[in-house]
Amino acid sequence: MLIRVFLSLFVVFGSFVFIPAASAHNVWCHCSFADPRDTLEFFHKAGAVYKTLSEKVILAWHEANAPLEEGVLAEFESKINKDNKVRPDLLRQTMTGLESVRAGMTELDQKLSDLESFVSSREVTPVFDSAVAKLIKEERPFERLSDTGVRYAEVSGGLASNSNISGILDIIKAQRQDLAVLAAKLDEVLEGLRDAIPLAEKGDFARVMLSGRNSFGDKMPQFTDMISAYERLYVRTCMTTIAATMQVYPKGFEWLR
Amino acid sequence: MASLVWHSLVAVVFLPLSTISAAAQDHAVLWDGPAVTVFPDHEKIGPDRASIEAAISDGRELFTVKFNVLDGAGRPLATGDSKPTPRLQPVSVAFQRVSGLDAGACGSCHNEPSLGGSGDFVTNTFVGAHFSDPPTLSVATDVTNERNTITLFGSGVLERLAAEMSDDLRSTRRKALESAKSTKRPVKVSLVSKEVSFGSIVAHPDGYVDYKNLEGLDYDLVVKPFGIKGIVISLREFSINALNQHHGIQSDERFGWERTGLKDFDGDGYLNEFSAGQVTAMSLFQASLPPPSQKWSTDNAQLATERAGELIFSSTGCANCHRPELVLREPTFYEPNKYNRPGSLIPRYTSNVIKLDMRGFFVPDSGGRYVVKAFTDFKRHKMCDEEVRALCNEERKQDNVPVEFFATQELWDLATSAPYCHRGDCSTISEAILAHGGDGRVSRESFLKLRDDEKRSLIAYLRTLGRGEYLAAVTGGK
Repeated sequence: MLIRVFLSLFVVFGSFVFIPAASAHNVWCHCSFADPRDTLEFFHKAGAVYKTLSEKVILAWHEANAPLEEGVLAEFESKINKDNKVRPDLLRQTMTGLESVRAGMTELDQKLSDLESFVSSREVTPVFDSAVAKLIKEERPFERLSDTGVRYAEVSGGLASNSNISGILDIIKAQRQDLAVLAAKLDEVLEGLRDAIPLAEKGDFARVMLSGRNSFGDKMPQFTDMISAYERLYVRTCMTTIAATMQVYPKGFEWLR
Repeated sequence: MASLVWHSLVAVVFLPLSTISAAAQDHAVLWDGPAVTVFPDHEKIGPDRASIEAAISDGRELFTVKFNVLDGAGRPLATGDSKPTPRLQPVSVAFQRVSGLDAGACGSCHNEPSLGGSGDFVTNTFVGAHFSDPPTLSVATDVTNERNTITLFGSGVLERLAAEMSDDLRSTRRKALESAKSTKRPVKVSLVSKEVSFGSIVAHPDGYVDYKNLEGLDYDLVVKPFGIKGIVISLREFSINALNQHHGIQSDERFGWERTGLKDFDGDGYLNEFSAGQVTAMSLFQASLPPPSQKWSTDNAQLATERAGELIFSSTGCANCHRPELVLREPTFYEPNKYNRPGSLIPRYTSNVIKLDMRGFFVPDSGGRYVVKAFTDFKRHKMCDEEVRALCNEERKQDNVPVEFFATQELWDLATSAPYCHRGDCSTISEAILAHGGDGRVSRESFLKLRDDEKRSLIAYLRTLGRGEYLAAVTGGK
């Protein structure tokens, strides 16, 4: 009895000891298993996913872009006020930042892979997965990433069907699939930016981007839309798992009592 | 077929008066039908030979047909720019010699010595004018760049050569970046492909690349074989650009709703004017045009003159840029090209990458190599200096390329492509040589130092290039 109380307290409070406070907020996916220790480990792994996405992808993305916008403004200024200089160094900062985002995506995929392997080898609380499936079936379709056959700059793919998502494992797989699309697009962004930096050194960056003659001008808006769509996919799919957890409670969390 | 019916219906009911000639202004209905009658599906072309041949045949038809308003020809609310660009006010005249529309069919200009070839001065086009708004009628050099029509024969081979060179150069850069990252030190590498040097770059550990010593190429290190400025990557890009500029036919993949957010970008009342399949067919047709062939004289004395000229071509340094031979690793034309830029189909956006076998264009050499005798290095060179400025008549940059830089023109069709130079204002090969300044100045001076008979030998040699096609045209193929 005392052990159960201690375990419950540990789950509720102890996790904060092992998961440092995130510097960016998001949701994390929920799940429960037949073995409470598996449930605890899932939350650790899901927390690692949440932290990586929030800090090393989303937050890093926002931080990477600020110098780019400043660099463009500096170029505009240099055309109007001849004493002002262009700032190609700011675009280089953005490139470094985006490289960091790309590395974050690799790490995120590793964490998702870890989570997927874990879930596929454990016994998920049956009523939980059933609840997830029911919720998804009635849910409006999740935004899925695609850069083919869709309106340029709205590359979320419109409203794709959820028919191939029926549980926590499918959710994780969907998050990984779309992360791969996102990463491929970021690779194109990086390539385009690398080719555009010499233009910035000559004060030609904005002009060439607006003329449509360089792929960065296409890829950057696409990626901006895509990463927003990816975050929506992540949030909505995880929210489904949270809703399912609360609906079936106390099933899967009997050890909390 | 459905498209034909749809176009006819739209023509009868919705045809805007602004696109109709003055003679038809009083009529809301036209009694002709659309000119385009072929609608190939990109996803259904290949891999079998029969379907590819059918697509090439469709492409020939699309290259030849004179587009009319019922096909969607005309762009009253768009300019002729390759980037979808709207006009504020609709144009009142459809055909206009300078800003376009300036032709009914591709073959109207590309037809010497046969369909797909080059064109006389009368077929010149005006780059830059086509995106003026309102449309300009001026041919002044501060308004537009006048360009002679070049041949499309051998263009499939050129595109493939350029793609292989791009692969090489970009691979070199990637390896340099990887090396810089792992060693945490800058890495300098020479950029060479097919024995053509494009200078060098320095890759830094943070991913930055210093392109200060890059020569004759854009920073993306993609060799662009088309256009006198070396700015177009593929026949597909070229065709999409030209369809809009010259005919006001706006391809779905560039001007359709998915890219522009507008279903009828040019405001002519026609949607889906040119499908991906139609662009593919047109590209395949052009790629199927064989390279121009060299033909030596059968007269021994003349042959000796021509052979002497061949040696002079090298000794004067002409061959430094006008490379007589480039080796193609794989004689296969891929459609779409993986280097196409946004607004043109790329392999990732289709389940069908079509392969056109080009081995029939070659007799492999003794080493089994596929040698392309195009007489170009695909680089941009500065073509004028303080004293020789004949080729620097232009005042407008095209696609950010400085006005004094031009891509090395292919020479393989000299026998059929007169007049010469980018504006088609050099009626003789001699004038074209004398116009070489800048990077070509040394060769020009070497030419001037030759004896007259040596000069004539060089010209005689150059006139063997493309003579196979010239003779066929003169004799009617007999």
